[in-house]
Amino acid sequence: MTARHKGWFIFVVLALAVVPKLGTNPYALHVLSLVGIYAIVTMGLNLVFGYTGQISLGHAAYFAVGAYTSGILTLQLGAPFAVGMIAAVALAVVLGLLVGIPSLKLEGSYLAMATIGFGEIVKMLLVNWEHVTGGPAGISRIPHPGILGFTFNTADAKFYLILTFSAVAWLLYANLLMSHYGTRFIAVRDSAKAAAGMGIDVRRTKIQAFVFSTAYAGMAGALYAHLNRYIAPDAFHLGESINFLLIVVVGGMGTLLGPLMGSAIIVYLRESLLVLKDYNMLIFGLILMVLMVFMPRGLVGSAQLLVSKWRRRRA
Amino acid sequence: MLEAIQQAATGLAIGSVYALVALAFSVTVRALNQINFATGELFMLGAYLGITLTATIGFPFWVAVIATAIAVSVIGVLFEKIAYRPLFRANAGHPGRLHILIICSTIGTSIFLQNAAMLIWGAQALPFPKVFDPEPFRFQGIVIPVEYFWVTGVAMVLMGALNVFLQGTWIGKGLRAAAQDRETAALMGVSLPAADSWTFGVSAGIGAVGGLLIGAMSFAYPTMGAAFVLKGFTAAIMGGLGSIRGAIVGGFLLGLAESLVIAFISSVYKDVVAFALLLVFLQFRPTGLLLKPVQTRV
Repeated sequence: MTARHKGWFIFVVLALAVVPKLGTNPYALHVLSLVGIYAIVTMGLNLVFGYTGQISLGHAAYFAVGAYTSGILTLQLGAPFAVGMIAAVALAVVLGLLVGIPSLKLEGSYLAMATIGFGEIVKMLLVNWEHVTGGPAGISRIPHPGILGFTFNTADAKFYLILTFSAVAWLLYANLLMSHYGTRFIAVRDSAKAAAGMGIDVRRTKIQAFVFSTAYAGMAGALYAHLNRYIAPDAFHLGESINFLLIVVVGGMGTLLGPLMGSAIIVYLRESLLVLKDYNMLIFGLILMVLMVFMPRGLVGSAQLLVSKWRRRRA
Repeated sequence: MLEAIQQAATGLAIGSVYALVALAFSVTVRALNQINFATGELFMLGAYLGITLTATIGFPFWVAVIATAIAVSVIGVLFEKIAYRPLFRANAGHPGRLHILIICSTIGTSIFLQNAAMLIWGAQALPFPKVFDPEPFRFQGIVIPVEYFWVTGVAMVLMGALNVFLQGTWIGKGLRAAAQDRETAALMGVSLPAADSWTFGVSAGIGAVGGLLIGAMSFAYPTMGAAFVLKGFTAAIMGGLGSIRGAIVGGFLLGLAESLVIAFISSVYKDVVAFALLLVFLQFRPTGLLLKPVQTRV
């Protein structure tokens, strides 16, 4: 990252850190924390289909695995939050390898459907493996997260915790993509054959992107479990996977900032459309259709296009 | 044994519906290499329209089938014009991006249609009106409800009609030509925009009749599409995605496989059958039973 990027990063994190001090109500902080969690999941996903060009419609499954792993370990075995978090990420990585290695040889619609299939199987497990997952009722009273004796039991504290995780996740993600190594993903997306010709191991690159994203989904899932303190299979259905995909596309596929903007916009849209009551999802569907037609590059992509046009005209 | 035959009859009836959904998928995949994720919602609309047309307006069953097919085909054509073509035009140079955008746009459409149906018909399941003879067909201790014959029969007739349409009519020939090679077809005078409209219309109409038939065997509810989309897609993959014959074979096979699992194992595992078959086929034979494995060349 260049000095300018670092400057912006520090500015944004500090600006967000001030938010709880402005008398923001706990509900708004909760919603902002959710934006952070979505942003973590979709940073990973953006690497998969924005940068590497592979689709996944099953990421709710890895999100669920993270949430349940940390939830069960901390609640039933009394493990500390850090152990729950590490186990959540580890299990999501293992599952990502198990699913990714056989599936990523598929392409396009086939890959989309295979990932849906795996997602549904995980959901069936959550519902039917009752003595571990609590079945359809899920798990409640998951402990507040705690690190080194400090318990994050207020909306403010949880917001700071999630902000920290999102910021670290962002640093890793942005550094990876801006590095020399990150260009391999784009090469695979733009032409797998040309990339292979340049000596890039295409299969390996796809799997790396996929596993990176499942690790992020697992981490976000664990945060989600401790933020909500209640998880049930309902929260991890196909609609949630679709939601993640939409965030990336609406924010801007293959743009660094896309997942952040997308998470903020989609969560904001959902919340503000609630006033329409029965009509809210109807309007949400319409907005999506319109956005796809008029903003195929997403918010960030369209903004970049405008800026570059404006610069060219000035030059 | 009786139990197995009984279940096989159910399997054939349900399988014929799976075959129709698989056909709805295959028609768009074959022509445009795109999956329409709103297929399930067009299917759901078919079920609701069938109920409205028979119960509220009082059409006979077969008239309701034809009217539903036409009405939903028109919705399919509108969808192509409003949501598909602008995307296709604007992103023709980026096939990878186009693919994901179409998936998102069809998902947007399905959210829209699902909620529209919920507002129009309510969130509860609607039963199909009693239009069939309530006395089932009995033979040597086997009992088969009359609607199963209707469902299988209508599905067979529709498949036959689709075949005649594709093989025997000028429009059908144009569609097949466009599916094989768009540029050459355009040079030969096939209007590609018209072909795409027809493709979406035909796919929507077939899917809608599938929904109506399932409605006739059970009932309609706003989220019914999602359950059948995966099964229809599995059927299409089993036969060979994009192949018309494959879709029909896959549909019947899946229906039979499910009903045999119910007969010999347990109805709990009914829904696992489709997922397991989907994953096995995707892993070991993604081109299905009827298509040859493809080889891509550089």
